[in-house]
Amino acid sequence: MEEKGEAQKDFMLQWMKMQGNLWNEWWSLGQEMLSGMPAGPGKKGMAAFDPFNISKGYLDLMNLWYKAAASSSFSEMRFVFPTSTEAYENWTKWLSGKGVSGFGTWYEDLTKTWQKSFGEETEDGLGRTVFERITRATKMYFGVLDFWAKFLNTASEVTDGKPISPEDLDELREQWMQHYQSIMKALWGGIPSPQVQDMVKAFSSSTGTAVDHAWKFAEPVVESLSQLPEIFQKMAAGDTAAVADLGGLFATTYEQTMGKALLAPTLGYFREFQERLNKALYAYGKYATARTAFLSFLHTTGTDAAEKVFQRFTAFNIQEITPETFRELYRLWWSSNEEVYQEVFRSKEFIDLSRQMVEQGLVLRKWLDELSDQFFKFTSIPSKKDMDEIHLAIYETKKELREQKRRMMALEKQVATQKATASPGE
Amino acid sequence: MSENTLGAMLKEVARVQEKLLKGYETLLNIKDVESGVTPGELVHKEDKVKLFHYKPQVKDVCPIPLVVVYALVNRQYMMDIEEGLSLFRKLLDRGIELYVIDWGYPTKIDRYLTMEDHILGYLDNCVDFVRDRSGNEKINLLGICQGGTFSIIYAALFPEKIRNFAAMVAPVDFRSAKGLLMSWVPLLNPDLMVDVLGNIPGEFLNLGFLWLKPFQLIIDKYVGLTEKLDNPLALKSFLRMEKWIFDSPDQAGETFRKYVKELFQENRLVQGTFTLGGRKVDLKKITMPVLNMFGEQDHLVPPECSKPLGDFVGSKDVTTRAYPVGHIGMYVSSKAQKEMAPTLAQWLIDRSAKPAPPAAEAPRMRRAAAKPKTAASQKKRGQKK
Repeated sequence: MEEKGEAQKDFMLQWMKMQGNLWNEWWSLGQEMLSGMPAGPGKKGMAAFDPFNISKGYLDLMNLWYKAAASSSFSEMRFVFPTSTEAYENWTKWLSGKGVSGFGTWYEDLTKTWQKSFGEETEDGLGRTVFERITRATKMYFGVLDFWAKFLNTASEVTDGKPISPEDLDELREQWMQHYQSIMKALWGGIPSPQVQDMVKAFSSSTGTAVDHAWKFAEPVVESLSQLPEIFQKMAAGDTAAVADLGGLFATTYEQTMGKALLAPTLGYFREFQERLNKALYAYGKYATARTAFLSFLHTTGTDAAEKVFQRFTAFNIQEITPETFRELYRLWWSSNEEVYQEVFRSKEFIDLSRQMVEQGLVLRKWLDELSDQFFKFTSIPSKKDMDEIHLAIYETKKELREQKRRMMALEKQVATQKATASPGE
Repeated sequence: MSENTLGAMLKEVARVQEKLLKGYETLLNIKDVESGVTPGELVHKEDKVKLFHYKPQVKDVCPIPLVVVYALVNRQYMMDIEEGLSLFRKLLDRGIELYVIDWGYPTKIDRYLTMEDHILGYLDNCVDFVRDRSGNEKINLLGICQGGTFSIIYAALFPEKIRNFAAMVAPVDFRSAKGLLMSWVPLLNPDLMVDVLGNIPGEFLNLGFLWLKPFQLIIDKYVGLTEKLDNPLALKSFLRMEKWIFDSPDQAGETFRKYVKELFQENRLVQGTFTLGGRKVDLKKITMPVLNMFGEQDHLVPPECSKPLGDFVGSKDVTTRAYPVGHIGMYVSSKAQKEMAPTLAQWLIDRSAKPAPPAAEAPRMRRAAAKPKTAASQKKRGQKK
C-alpha cells in the first residue's frame, strides 16, 4: 500500500510539473506575441507564435496520462483533464483582452479536482474493463488526429495556396509516409521489430568452445546481416515479397546456427530434460521467426493502406479546418484501412503466415509443457499428462454411468409396462 | 502549424477528453450488468448443462413448447439482452412456452466431451425431459448459429421427436467464398490445437472474431462510444452487448476437433458423409415443417452457408425468410425483432395444433403419434422478405 502511495505521489508531482511547464509555455509565448501588438493580436504577434512547443507539451501530457491509464495503477487516471477545454478557452479569452483569472486560479482548481479524486480505489469490473478499452482506442484516435494535424500543416506549406503540381504531390506523398510511421508504430510496432533485433543479437553472441566453432556460428550470421539492409529497403518501399525474404533469411540462418546445435542428440543422465529444453528453444526460434514475418507482413499492408488513404485524401475537399474536419479525416483513415486489411486477410499469403505463426506457437507451447512435465516428475505435483489422464478417466466413468442409468430407466419402464399389462384394472 | 489547424485539433481532443471524464465517472460505478432480463426457472441440470423454463403470462399458449438451442461459442442471453430487445419476451408474449439450453462454461475436465455427448447426450436428454414434462410426444425446436447446426443434426437423427423445426443463422453448407471466417478455416490445425491446448480458449475465438473487422471493432467502436458516455441508458445498453461479446466460454476440445474438421473443413454434412455416434446423418430425414431464417448482411455466417438448408432437407413444408441485418442484428436489431419474432411465433402456432387423441389409450412416451385428420400437406417453398 505504501509503495503504491509513493508511486502515486511521484506521478502526481510529475503531472503537476508538466502542467506547470505547459502553462508557462503558453504564458510566455502569449507575452511575446502581445509585445508586438499593443492594440491586440496581429501579424507580427502571430509570427512569434510557435505552436509546436505547445502541441508537443500538450501531447506529452496526454502520453503521460495514457501511460498511467495503461498501467495497473488505475487510480492515477483520476486527474483526467478537467480543465483542458477551460485552458484553451482561458487562453482565447486572454487573447481577446477580456482578462482571465490566470495561472494561479486555474492551477488551484486543477489541483483541488485532483486531490478530491486522488487516492480512491477503483474495483475491477465491467466498467473499468470497458474504460480501459476506450482509453486504448482513443489513444489511437489522438494519434491519428496528431498525424492529420502535422500532415495538414505540411501540406499547406508545400502547396502554399497554389494548385498542386506533380512535384508537390510527390513531396506530399513523401511527407505523408514519414508522418504515417507514427501510426504504423502504434498499430504494429516499428521495423525492424525487437524480435528481429534480439534474434540478430542472439546469433552474433552464440557461444562456441573454440574460435573455429564460434566462426561456424558467426559466418552464416555475418552473411545474413549483410543482406538485411537491402531487404528492409525493399520492405519500406512496399515490396511484399521482401517480407518472405526476411522470414526465409532468418529461418535459414537459424537452421545453420542455433538449429544445428539444438537438434544435436544429447547424452547423459538428464538426456530427456536436455532434449526437451533443446526442442523448446528450437521451437521458440521458429515461433519468433514466424511472428516476425507475420508482423512484417501486417506492417507492409499498413503501408498499402497508407497509400489508399493518401489517394482518398487527395480527393478530399477541405474548405475550412474545424474539429469536424478531423473527425471526417479519422473516418477516412479507419475505413480505408479496414478495406485494405479485409482484402489482405483473404490472401493466401496472410493465411500461410498466420498458420505458420499459430502452429509454431502451438509447437512451442507443446515443448514448454513437455519441459514442465520433466520438472514435475521430481515433485508430487501432477503434470499436464497426469491431469489429462485423470480427466479422461473421469469422462469415461461418467459416460459409462450415464449409459447404465439410461439402461436402468429403460428397464424400469419396461417392468412398469409389463406390470400394467399383466394386471389391468387393479 | 497554423492556429486554425492546431486549434481545431486541440478542440477535438479537448471535446473527447471531456467526454472521457464523464465516462470515467459513470463507468467507475458499474461493476457488472444483468445477463438476461426475463426470469426463468431452472428445471433440469446435467453436468454443466442447464435447462431453463420460461412460462408465457398470456392466456392463449401454444400447446407445444419450443426448445431453444444456442451455440457453444457465446452465451444464450443475447436473445434476452434487455427490455425492448428480448426475443424471449416477444415469443412469450405471443404464447410460446420456452425451454432454453444453457451449455455452461467448460473447464479442463470437459476437454474430452464430444459432439456426440452434446447432441446425443445433453440435447437429447433435454428434449426428452421437455417431452415428459409437457406431455408431448414431439416438441418444437429452434437452433441458432452453431446451435442451429447441432439442431439440424439432431432433427435428422430424431425426427420422431420434433414437431416443427426452426433454424436461425445456422450454417449447414460451410463452403463460402464470401465469408472471411470461412476462408480462415484452412489456417486452423484442429488436431494440433486440441492436442496441445485441450479446450480451445474463448479468448482465441474472440480474437478471431475481432480480427474480422479490426479497425471497426477494436478502435472505432470505442471512439464512437465516447459520444454516449454522458448518456447512462445508451451506455448501459452498450455494456450489456460488450459483456456478451467477450463472454465466450472455452470450447470442449474433442467437440471443437470434430466440428472444425468434419463440418468446417470437410463440409461433410451437406455431402451426406457426416456421422455421429456411428449413425449417418441424412438431412433428408428432416421431414417435419422447417423455418429457415438468415441475415442478408451476416458476415459471420454468410447467407450462402445458411440459406440452402431447404435444398437439403426432405420436408415438403419449408419456409425461408431473409432479414436485412447482420448476425447479431438477427437477435437485437429492432427491425428484426419487429418482424422476425412475430413470424416465428405465428409459424409455430399454425403448425402446433394438438392432434386428436388416439382411440386406444397407450403410454404417451416413445410411441408414434396418430396422424392428425385435419392436417393438410403444404408445399411452400420460396423466399419472402
